[in-house]
Amino acid sequence: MGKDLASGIGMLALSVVVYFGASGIGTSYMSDPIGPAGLPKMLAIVLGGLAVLLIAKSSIELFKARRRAPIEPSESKWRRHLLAAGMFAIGGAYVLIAEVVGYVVGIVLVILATALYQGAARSWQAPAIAVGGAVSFWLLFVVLLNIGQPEGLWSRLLNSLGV
Amino acid sequence: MSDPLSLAWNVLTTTPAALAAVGGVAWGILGGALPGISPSITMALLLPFTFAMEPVVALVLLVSTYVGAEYGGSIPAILIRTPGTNAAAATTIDGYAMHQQGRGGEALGISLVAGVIGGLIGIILLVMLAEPLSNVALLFTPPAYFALGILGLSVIATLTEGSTLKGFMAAVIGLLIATVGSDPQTGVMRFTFGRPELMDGIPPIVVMVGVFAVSELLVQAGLPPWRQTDRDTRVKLPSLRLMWRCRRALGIGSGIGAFEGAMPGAGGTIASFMSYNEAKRWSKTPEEFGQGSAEGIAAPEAANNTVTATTLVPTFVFGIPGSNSAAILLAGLLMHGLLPGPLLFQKYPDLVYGLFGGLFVANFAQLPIGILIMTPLIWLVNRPKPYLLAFIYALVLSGVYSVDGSIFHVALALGFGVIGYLFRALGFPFLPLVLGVILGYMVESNYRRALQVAAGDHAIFIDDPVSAGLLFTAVLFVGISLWRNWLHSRKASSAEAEMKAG
Repeated sequence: MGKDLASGIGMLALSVVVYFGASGIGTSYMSDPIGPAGLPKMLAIVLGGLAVLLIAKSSIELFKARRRAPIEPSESKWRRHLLAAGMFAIGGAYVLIAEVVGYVVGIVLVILATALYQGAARSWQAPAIAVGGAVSFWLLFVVLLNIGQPEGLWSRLLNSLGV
Repeated sequence: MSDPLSLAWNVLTTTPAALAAVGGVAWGILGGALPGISPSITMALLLPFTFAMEPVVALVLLVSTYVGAEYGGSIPAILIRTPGTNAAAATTIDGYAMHQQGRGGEALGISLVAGVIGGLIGIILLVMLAEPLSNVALLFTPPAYFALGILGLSVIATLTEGSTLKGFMAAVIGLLIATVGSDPQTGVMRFTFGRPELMDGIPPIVVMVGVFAVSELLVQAGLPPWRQTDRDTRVKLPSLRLMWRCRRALGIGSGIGAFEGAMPGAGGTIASFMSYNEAKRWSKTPEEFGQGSAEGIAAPEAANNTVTATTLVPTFVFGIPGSNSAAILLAGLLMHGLLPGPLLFQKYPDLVYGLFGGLFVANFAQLPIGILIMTPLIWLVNRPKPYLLAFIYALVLSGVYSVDGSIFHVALALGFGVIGYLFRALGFPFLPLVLGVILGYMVESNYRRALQVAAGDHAIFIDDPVSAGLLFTAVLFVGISLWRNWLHSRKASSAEAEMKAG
């Protein structure tokens, strides 16, 4: 299946989900002629229409190209997607742990995990750079610029005890 | 103290705006010098941190980053034949040729000076055009504002790279994202799934950091290491005689850059390639192009730096950003509760002229900063890619959290990163999506306000002359684009048939 055909089908499915999702939006006595659900429904219909056009266009192109040798996705392409998925997982893990372990430990882990995942040498340097980096970030954002970052369980506990 | 010059001077001397201009240029040069990190990504990384800043300082910081990144992009283009930004691709041709001849420092100097000249010409045009044009926007009523949003989205959807159909789909998705949260007319919740974090909608900043910065990190994760830059290169400023010899190329670059910058969807890349071609056409020594011609560097660099200023004309006047970088600047404006248009000039002249003053400082600051930070910059960009990516990732995660202290928004940014990654893989353009998110509120609120006035009669959009004109232009743009696509596909299929017959 071609990329465009897959995109078209995906977008069509999304438009159906949005349309039915919009049908569940409540109303208000202050409602205007369009109402709160009006625009989302309209956009869902437009998206659906565009998706159908994309499906039709890509189907015709696929039909025309049926005699050409099919282009198989290369192994390196899948490897790239897998590497991207791993990178996303590191960010996802930070979201899950940041408010438990706190900013500095969270960032140490993000830097360390990302660097090792991307092929940094497994030596004492990696954790040292991660700790140095996280402390620098903390000094810059939290101490110097006074920009709030996740506090972590221990920090919250100490704060609640007034320490 | 009410004339533009005094206002700009006042802002530059009483706020940290001048400091922000210098810092922004340095940060921009660094970001631009990293292959794959475009000016918009460099700006997106900084955007969350500008949230707590004074509006004028935040905007000067962002626009200076843009200026710096355009020069930064030429550094790897000249030294390792890998443009740091798309707009620097044309500089690669003669810049790298000069570097191979042992004149890399001279090439960097020409790029720097040409950029400063282009940028200054762009600022003059910006000051001359922005305020008079903004008065046109006084004619706008709710139907006209709705039509303007539709025109902006149509132009961007049809002009950005890739298929028009996909451009429109991206714009519709952007508008849908903008509908999340409480309804602007009734306050009814839409698509919030019971999450209190979504009640105020999805901040455009989160979408931008996701689709620009996070998706780039995901892409870079699967790419090989960047090439190492030559450590011994120093910037060598060109002589006045050499720059005088390049005057025609500088004029062509600035002229094309001015025009392309003011056109939504065109941007620095088209401007730099067009000016390279035109400079070659009008050069007295066209045979030197491709062999290390100074004019071949001056023209594209002047063009992409002129764009950094003139792209602010449609952004400030109508709220229609012409490029990804201008879209981020617009997000910065909206983030501080400021709306583009004539009222911006009337209500916040200090901000507008302070920003123009900051842009002026940034352009001049490029020269000393470009020379001074060259050695530490080369050291920094030569650090192993795994660590550079790790630090950028940490910066992204810290930045999104700092917007409003919500880990939910960090998760959302990661989600938008995946959407951005899928968009890249499937050939969907970003800009229509981002523009849809930014313009969503304007489009919906004015559409519904207009219909409320007209008791639900859609004829109001045709009866209003400004609205009718804008909608007609939108239809014209779409029609021309579809016709051009049809011609292109017909030409491609006839070429294929000829090949088969041959």
